[in-house]
Amino acid sequence: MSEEERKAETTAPQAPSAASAANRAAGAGESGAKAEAKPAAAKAQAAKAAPPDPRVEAAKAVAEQIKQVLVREFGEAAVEETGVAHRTPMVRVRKQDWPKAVEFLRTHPDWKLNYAECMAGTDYPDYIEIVLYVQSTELGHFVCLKTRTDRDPAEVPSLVASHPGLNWEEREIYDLLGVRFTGHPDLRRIMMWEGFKGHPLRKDYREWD
Amino acid sequence: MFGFLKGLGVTLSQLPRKKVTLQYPDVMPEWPERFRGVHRFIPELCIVCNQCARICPTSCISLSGTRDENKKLRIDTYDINFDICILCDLCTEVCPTESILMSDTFELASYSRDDLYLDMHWLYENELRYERAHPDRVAPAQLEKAGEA
Amino acid sequence: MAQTEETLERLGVPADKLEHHRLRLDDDPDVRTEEMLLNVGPQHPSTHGVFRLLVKIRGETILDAEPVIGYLHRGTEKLAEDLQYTQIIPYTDRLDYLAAMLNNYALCHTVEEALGLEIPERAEYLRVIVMELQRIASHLLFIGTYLLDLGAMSPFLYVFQERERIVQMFNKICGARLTYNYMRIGGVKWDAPPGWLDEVRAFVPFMKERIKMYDDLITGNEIFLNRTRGIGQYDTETALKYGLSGINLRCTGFAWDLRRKKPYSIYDRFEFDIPVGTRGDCFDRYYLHLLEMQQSLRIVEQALDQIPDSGPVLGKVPKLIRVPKGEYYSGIEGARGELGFYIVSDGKDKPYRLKIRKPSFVNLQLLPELLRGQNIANLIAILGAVDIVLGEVDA
Repeated sequence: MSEEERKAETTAPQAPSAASAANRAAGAGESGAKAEAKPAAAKAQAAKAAPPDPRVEAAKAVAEQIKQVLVREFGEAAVEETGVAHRTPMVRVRKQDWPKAVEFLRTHPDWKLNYAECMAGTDYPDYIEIVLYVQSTELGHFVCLKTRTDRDPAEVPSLVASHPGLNWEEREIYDLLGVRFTGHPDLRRIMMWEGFKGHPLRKDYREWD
Repeated sequence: MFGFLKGLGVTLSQLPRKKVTLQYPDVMPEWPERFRGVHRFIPELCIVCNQCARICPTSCISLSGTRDENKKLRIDTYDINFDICILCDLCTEVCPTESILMSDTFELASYSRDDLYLDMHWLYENELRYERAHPDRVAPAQLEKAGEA
Repeated sequence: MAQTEETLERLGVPADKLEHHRLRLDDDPDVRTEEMLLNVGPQHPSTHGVFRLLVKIRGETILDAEPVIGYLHRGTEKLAEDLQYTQIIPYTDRLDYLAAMLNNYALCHTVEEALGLEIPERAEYLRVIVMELQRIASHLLFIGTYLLDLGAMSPFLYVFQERERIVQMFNKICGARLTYNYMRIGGVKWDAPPGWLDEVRAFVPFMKERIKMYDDLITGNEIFLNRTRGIGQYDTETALKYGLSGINLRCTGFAWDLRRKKPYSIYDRFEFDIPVGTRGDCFDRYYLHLLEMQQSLRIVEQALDQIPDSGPVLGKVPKLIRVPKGEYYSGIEGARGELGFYIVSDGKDKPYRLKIRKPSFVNLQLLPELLRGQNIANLIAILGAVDIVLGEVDA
């Protein structure tokens, strides 16, 4: 792949957001009267039967590209899953490579994912997932990066070194979900008070235990 | 120095302006029709469908009803706990018969929390008060219903 | 006093230089002066809520500052897990209570994106109008409170005049002055009452005049300039590293506005500029608020011209909203920065997880960096310009 081609492809994720108005206009035409009644159901059906959404396909392609870049650098095992979070390319990185991969993508000339927009933790029955939405202010990429950790002990290396703005977000996740961010400079509770027992956003949290 | 004088000019230009404040509580504010004050309730219209209690984000509504001889549900108790009500208006939005509505009563300060537990009678009183204050806003059909009661 | 003089004598300071040395004692690296911890807040008028700042000072210089938050934590994210999507909307009113319309919209927008809903044209325009009016109201309050923090009383009283007009308009359209609960998933709750749009139209020239008045009153004032120029400066790189957004990012000269960068709603139909600062100091942050109000007025004007005369205001939405399984994130340009909602749905009518990307929360992190080494008198000037709302920081 030549440099130009890659550039052209990597700028693809910009298109959906820039053309959102056009999409809306097109959507009004194609969905018509029958889809109006139950948009949710119609959408679910469309996802199963109809040809897939081009925006989703583009996002999947971008996720694959990121995977290749990461695999080249960190080996096959580093990327556990690629896919799409709604219309955003999603790449799930192995926990051990998490900070290195984020830093690598932050400085990589083709990606420059330098602006961390949102970081969230979610408690699933078998694992806790950390989600990071990062944006490239220069190239326009918008990517969802993920990693997973066991629920007990929940431990993820910290990203504060590459994105200092995630300091409080990580503290919040530690406070509410009980994920220990190793290497975090100041891991204390932030919303709840010192001495509070438990982590309220965990699904098995009970107030009166 | 010029900045000061310019600013001072603005200040001086404010002097002859009319007052914009309201001498509450001597002068009461005029609330628009959609104003979301304390609820008013019309027991005759209620069909005990429980939708308001279910949609309430803070679960502050509790109600109960029994079937009368015509197998129709009639409301027995209807309580709103104004300790936790956030006046979000979702209950009036889902009410199929418009028996629960918002009024323009807004002064809720009280010495005791018990006073904030508003029952059906209080809410109906509030409805009557609202009708007296705004005869133009109450639909004729509603007035008839109230008249029957 | 006597002891100090003794010390100075012991150090061999000549008698005629005593006075001079006594005053300089604080700056002498060989002389140990005491460090002091100063609690600003939790109840302090210029923290705009219950926010505590633990400041370590030596003399008048700030050595370190540690923000302590969480006094207003209500657990909105946890509460939302037990609520249907419609029921969460009134809770978003209470995040950033100065810009509740924008919070309403941010949640509705994320859910609508997830469902792929069509929003009726008129509803979109009504949303844009109320959102931009809300932005003006929020920015007005920033200017008022910021000037109040810096010791100027009258702008605080002036801004409430315009804000009152906006709030009254909101009161007419949705029945509340602060916690609007106006947006619904798929549209808005109510159409504009008769005459409302004319009222907004009449407000625009009035507001333009007032913005000019604030410009005259504040921008050129020498005291204000001295207190804000070059204070709390940072560059774009720092801002991006710390994830700042909104005016806190744009004041460094970086044009990043989600209304342009990731157009949502119908913002791509309007002409407006993104004002940016040049120095990234407190003055720029103040001035951008003024300029952004002008741009908001431009949007409101255009929206008033384009809005269809009639039509539905609520799209066809199922009664019980079930978001398809998956995860969704979308952010909008709130009054304070990027306001985003991240929703994980397992296909039920309630979110499995809801995370709010709170602009004030993220913006506040830079504060210790900005305060270090500053004079204590600048603390309030810097904190005020970050423009936080504690309801949002603590959520």
